[in-house]
Amino acid sequence: MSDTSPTIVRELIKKDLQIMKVPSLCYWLGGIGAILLAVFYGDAAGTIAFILFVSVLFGAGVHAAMQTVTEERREQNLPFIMSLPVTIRDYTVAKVSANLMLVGTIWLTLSAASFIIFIGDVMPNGTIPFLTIILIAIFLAYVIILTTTVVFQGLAPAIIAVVAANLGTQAYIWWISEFHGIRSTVNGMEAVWNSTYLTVIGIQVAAVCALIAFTFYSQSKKTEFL
Amino acid sequence: MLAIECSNVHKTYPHFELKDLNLNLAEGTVMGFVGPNGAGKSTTLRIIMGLVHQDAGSVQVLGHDMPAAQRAAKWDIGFVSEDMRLYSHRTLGFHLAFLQQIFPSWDNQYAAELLQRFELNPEQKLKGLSHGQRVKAALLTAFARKPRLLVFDEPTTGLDPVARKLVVDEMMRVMEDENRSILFSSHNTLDVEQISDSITFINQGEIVASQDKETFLDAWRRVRLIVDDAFTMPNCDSIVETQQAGHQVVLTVSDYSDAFAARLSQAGASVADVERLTLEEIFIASVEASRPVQSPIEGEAA
Repeated sequence: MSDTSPTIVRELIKKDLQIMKVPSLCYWLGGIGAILLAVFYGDAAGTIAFILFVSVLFGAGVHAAMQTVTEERREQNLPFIMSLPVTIRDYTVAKVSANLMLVGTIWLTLSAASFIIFIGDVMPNGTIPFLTIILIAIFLAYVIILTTTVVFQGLAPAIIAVVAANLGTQAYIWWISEFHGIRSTVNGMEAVWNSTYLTVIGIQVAAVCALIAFTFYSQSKKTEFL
Repeated sequence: MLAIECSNVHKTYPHFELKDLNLNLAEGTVMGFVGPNGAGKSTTLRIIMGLVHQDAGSVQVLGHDMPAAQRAAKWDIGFVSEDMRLYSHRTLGFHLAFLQQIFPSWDNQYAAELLQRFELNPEQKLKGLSHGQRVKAALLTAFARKPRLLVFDEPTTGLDPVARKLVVDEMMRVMEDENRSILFSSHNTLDVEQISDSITFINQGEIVASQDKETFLDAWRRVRLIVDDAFTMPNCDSIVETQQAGHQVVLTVSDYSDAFAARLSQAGASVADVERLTLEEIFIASVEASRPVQSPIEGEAA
C-alpha cells in the first residue's frame, strides 16, 4: 500500500479539476479585476484593490478545499470514490494534488501579475519582500484549511479552520510587519532581502511542507474511511 | 474457490462490537446478508471492501488480503451502498465517462442496455433524479464494470416494487456468468429468498445462522399440536419458540424431521398441521432465539 495508482489518481485529479473549472476561472478573473482596479484607479483604489485581491486568493482556497473534500463527504460521494481501486493514500495524493494545482495556479499567476503591476506604480519596490511574505502567508493559510478538511473531513472543523486561518493570517501579518528588519525597509525605493525576510519566508515554506507531510501521515494512520 | 473468506473478524466501537465473524461466499453464488438495523451488516461489508480495518481476524476477497491489498481486489469488485451518492450536480453521463476511463473492463454496450432497461437519461443531472433512479444509476455504475464480485449494501431499500424487480432481475442476469458472485445485504427477505443461494443472518454483531437457502427453508417448520393436560414438551434444542393457548400448541422448529414428529406423538401430542416458514419468519425467529433470555426482574432493571 506504499505506492500509488497513477492512472486512477490522474482520473481523480481530472474529475476535481473539472468540477472546480468554472469557480476557479471566476476567482482568477476576480483577481485580474482587482489588479486592473489598482492599475486604472491608482492610489485612490489601491487599498480596496489589494483587499479584493487578497479576498480572491483566500476565497479560491476555501472554495476548492470545501468543494472537493468537505462537500464530497457531506454529499456522500465518498463511498463512490472509495469503491474504486484506490487506497486512502491514493485518495490523499489525488485530493492534495488537485487542490494544489487549482489554487496553486491561481495563486502563482495572480502573484506574478501583482508583482508586475502593483510594484512600481502603486507601491514602492521596498514592498516586494513584504508582499512575498503576505502571498506565501495566504498560501500557508490555504494549506492549513486543506489539511484540516482532508484530515478531519467534517464541516465544523473546516469552518473553524477557515475562521482561524483568516483571523490568524491578519494577526500574523500585522505582527511581522512590526519586525525591525521589515518595518525599516518596507517603504524604501529598493527591495532589501535581509535575514528577517529570508527567515520568515523560510519558516512559512517549511510550515507548508510540514502541513502537507502531516496530512499524509494522519491519513496513513486512519483505519476507517467512511 | 471462495470469493470472500472472513475468519474470526473482530471490530470494536464504543457502542457496538462485531464478534468473531466467520463468513464464506463461494465463487459463482449469491449470498443474502440479512439482519435488523444496527446488526453489523454495513460494518461487515465495509470491512470486506477494505474501507474499515478490522481489529482482528483475516479477510480475503478474490484471493486478496484486505485491507492491505484493497486496490488490487477492488478492480474486480462492484460496490454500491445505501448511503452512496453520485455527484448531484453532474450528469449520469459524466460518471459513466469517468468510470470508463478507469476500468478496462467497462462495457459500453452493456451500459447502454442498462440505461434503456433502467429508463435513465445520461444527459440528466443526478439532482433531478428520484431516489429510485439514483439507486438504479449507482447500480448501473457497478454492473457495467463487469466485476467478478458485486457487494451491495441494501440495494433495493426505498425502491418501488417495479424498480426492485428490475434490480433483482439484473442481479439474476449477472449470475448467468458462473464466475461471478454477489453478496448483498437487505431487509427485504422476499428479494433475498428470490435470488440467494445461501443466506446469513446477523444480529447484534454476531452471525446467528448461515446456510444454503434450501436447507433453511426445508429445516424450519411451524407445527400445530393438540395436547392434553398431561402433555409434557420433550426437551429439544430445535424448538425455537413455543406458544400455547389451552390445548393448542404452536411450535417453531429449526430442524424439523419425521423423527421429531414421532417424538411429539410419543409424548402424547397430536400433530394437527405442519407448515413451512417464509424466510422472513425464519429470520425473525432466528433473531428472537439469538437474544439472551432475560428474567422479568433483569428486564425491569434494564
